[in-house]
Order: sequence, then structure tokens, then C-alpha cells
Amino acid sequence: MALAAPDSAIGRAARSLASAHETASGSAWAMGTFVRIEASGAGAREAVGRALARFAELEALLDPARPSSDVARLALAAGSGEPLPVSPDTIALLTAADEVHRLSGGAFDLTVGPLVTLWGFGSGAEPARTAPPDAEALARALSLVAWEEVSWDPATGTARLGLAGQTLATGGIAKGYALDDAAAILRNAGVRRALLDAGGSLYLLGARDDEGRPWRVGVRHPRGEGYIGVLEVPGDRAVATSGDYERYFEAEGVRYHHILDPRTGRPARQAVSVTVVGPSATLADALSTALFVLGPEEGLRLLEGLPGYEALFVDTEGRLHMTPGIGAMFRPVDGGGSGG
Amino acid sequence: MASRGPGRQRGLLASVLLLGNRALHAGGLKLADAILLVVLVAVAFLASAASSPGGVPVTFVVEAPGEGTVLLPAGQDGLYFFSGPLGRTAVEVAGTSARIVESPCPEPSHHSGWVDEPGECLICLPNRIVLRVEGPSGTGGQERPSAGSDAVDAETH
Repeated sequence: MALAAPDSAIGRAARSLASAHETASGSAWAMGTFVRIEASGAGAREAVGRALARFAELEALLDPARPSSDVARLALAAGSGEPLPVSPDTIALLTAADEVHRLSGGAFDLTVGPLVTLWGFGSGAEPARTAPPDAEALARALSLVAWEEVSWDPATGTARLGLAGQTLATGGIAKGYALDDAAAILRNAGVRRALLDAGGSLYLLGARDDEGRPWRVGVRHPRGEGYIGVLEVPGDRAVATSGDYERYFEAEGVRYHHILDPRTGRPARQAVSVTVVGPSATLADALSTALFVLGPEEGLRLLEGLPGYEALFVDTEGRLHMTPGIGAMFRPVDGGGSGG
Repeated sequence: MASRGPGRQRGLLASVLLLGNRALHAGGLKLADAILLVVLVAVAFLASAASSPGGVPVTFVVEAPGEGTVLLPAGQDGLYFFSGPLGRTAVEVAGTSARIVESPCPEPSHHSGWVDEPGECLICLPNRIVLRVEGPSGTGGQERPSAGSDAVDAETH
């Protein structure tokens, strides 16, 4: 019995050491994509499970296709004037969306929902259209794109959409929000290193390895196989990409893709791919959409006033445009694009 | 962009076989040479079957609604079929590379071409099939391939 205490202490120390080196991985289908988490550190196994469950929770709140979600309920009550009780997550998402709307001068706008549906990029994996919509229908949907008609109150936990027919398209920000939350769960549990991948939107927690080397992230070639290059990204950064190759249809030789310009109601035409690196996955996700709409010239100007966020553009001619910060991270692959 | 395909790790094996063939035709192959040749062939085959172009042993992991998670070690060449809500997806393993050769997915850019580096991933979203390449330590942020190799940890798109 006298030896029990030291044995227990050693056992506890051994268990603690083993826990610190615990590794785990998990995956799930959520938010219309494949989510994968690899984690290393204390409590990794349990934390990965909770992080994946968080994706499912947020999907239930933010998916417009789920009748019980906050976003669907807001759409149903749109124009009624009645503020609806919504979750703190919905309030936080609206607040973040408002920040990117303001920063981008309206190039990011969640109220493009009716346009997304009109163009056939709503629910379902395949675009529902084979030809662009007519001008009259486009004008009608465009009249509902009005961020100033959306209001929310963090004090009462309520929100409302001012115009009947308004809907919110959360696809450009919800994955980023979920990544930030999932990363916080892992970090708070003691995980020291993790890779979170939500359909190509990433959060890289901690350094890639014990030597502190950067993570290596391949940037998909927007028009071919493989990568245009590899980004060597330091830890605790998010990486998000918006591209015109994800969802689109072609009619008479023209590609109509899913990233719509809230100002014209049509697919944005100044870039084919934009990758953003920054500390917040929520902002990186929304910014990649906003910068895609703005194009390289305006987009790079916007980033000059936003420290910590870097971007890489591929324009319609295949030329690369980048901030100095991402230039230092980027290792091009032969044939992946040309500088511009 | 670097060319992708299943054959580039087979160079050593092909060289060894070529040398043996030449020796046989020259009539100068002795017992000791034959034993050495067999050993070299075995070593070359194991090296080619187990390693990615970056020199890292790989396993292909397929996740499918019908079959769950299935591991396909590199070198187990063949066609493997998986089922999802839209139908059948076929995965081909050839040496150290794998690809989706048949799938009812409307977005071919998500699942075109070969993958052979740890971290690479092909997804047929509508059919909920994922094909990804894993390195020797599997997952969990353990020691990864050294910086400077072609390997990536993840892809953004």
C-alpha cells in the first residue's frame, strides 16, 4: 500500500504524457460539403468529435434549405415587420457579414438569396438551369438584394428581413464561421496542432510540426488539374478560396457560375479564383467572395486597409495578382499562371 | 504543371528488368547474378509499390455511404467500386496513384486526374464519395513530409 501513491503519480504522469501526444481524426458531411479534422494534443479524440458536432449544429441553424433553421424562418417572416428570436450564432454571423459588406462597399451581401435561387444555384448539387434568366426576372430578384433592409438586435436576440421575398444566402460565410468555432473547441481542449478542412476552406491550428514549419496548402488550378502553386502558411491561419469552377453551367459558350455580383445580379467577371489567408476563417471565407466580385484591382486596394489578410487572385487571363504577404508564402508550380 | 500518372515510380523496376533481360540475351547470367537480380527486382518492386513520388509510403482511403471507410494500400492495382446515393463510383489504383474513373457526378473538376501525394483528395460531392491519400503516419498532425517536397497538407478550392 505504501507504494500506491508513487505508482499513482507515475501512472498519472504517464497518462498525461500519453494524452499530450494523442492524435485523432474524424470526418462528416455538413453544410453541403465534406468536413475533415486531423488533430494532435491533449484531448484530441473527444475534441474532434465535439468540433464535428458543432458543424452539424450550425448547419441546423444556418442552412436556408432546412425549414426549422433560423435563416429559413427569417425568410418565411420576411416583410412582416416582426422581429424573430434567433440564436446568438445567427446574430454573430449577421454582424460578421455586415463588416464584410461595409468593407467591400456592398460586394458581399447575404441578401443575394433570391438571385442564387433564380440562377439555379440554390439547393441541389447540380445547377438547375441551362440558360441565364430573362431580364425581367433578374430585375425582380435584384430588387430584393438590399442589405439595409436586414436588421438584428444582439440585446434582444432578434432579427428580421424587411422586404417580403428576401432570403439570405449563407454559403459564402457559414463554413468559415463553423471553422472558427471548431478551431476554438480544439484549442480550448488542449489540442496544439490541427488541420480543419471544410470542402477546401481550411483552418490550420498551430504549426505544421514540432520544428515549427509552415503548413503546405495546394491552390487548385482553376482551369486544369492539380495546383497553380503551394502556399506555405504559418499556423493559426485560415485559408479560403472562391472560384468560378465550383458550380456553373455553360450556355452558348459562356460560363455562368455561382458567385453573383450583388450590384448587377449576374456572375462576377473579373476573376476566376481568389484565395484569402487570414486569422479569422469567417472573414477569410466572406472576403474571398467579396474580392472575387471586386476583382484584383479593387480587391488589392481593399486589403491595404485590412492588416493580417492576404490574397491571391487569378484573373480571367490566367494572370496572378497578389498582396506582398501572400507573395512570400506562394511557391508557384510550372505552368500554374503568370505574374500580373 | 508536373505530369501525373501511375507509372513514374516504376522506373527503377523497369531499369532492373531491362538489365536482366540484356544479361540473359548476352548469355552471361550466372547463378549469383540471377540471385542478385531477383533480390534487386524484389527491392525495386517494394520501393515502387509502397512510396509516393515524394518518397512517402501512401494508402488510399475511400469513404463511401455504402461501404464506410475502406483502405486501399498503394500497389494493390485494380478497380474498386463504391456505392452512393446517385449510384456507383469506380476508383482505380495503379501503383502509387489512384483516380476516380467512373462516377455519376456532374462536377468533373472535383474528381478528375490522378492523386498520389499525402493530403490530396478527390471528392464526388453528390454521390458522397471521398478518395484521399494518406501518408505513413495516417492522420493526426504527426511528422509530415519535409518542406521542399511536393507533398501538401491540404488543398484549397
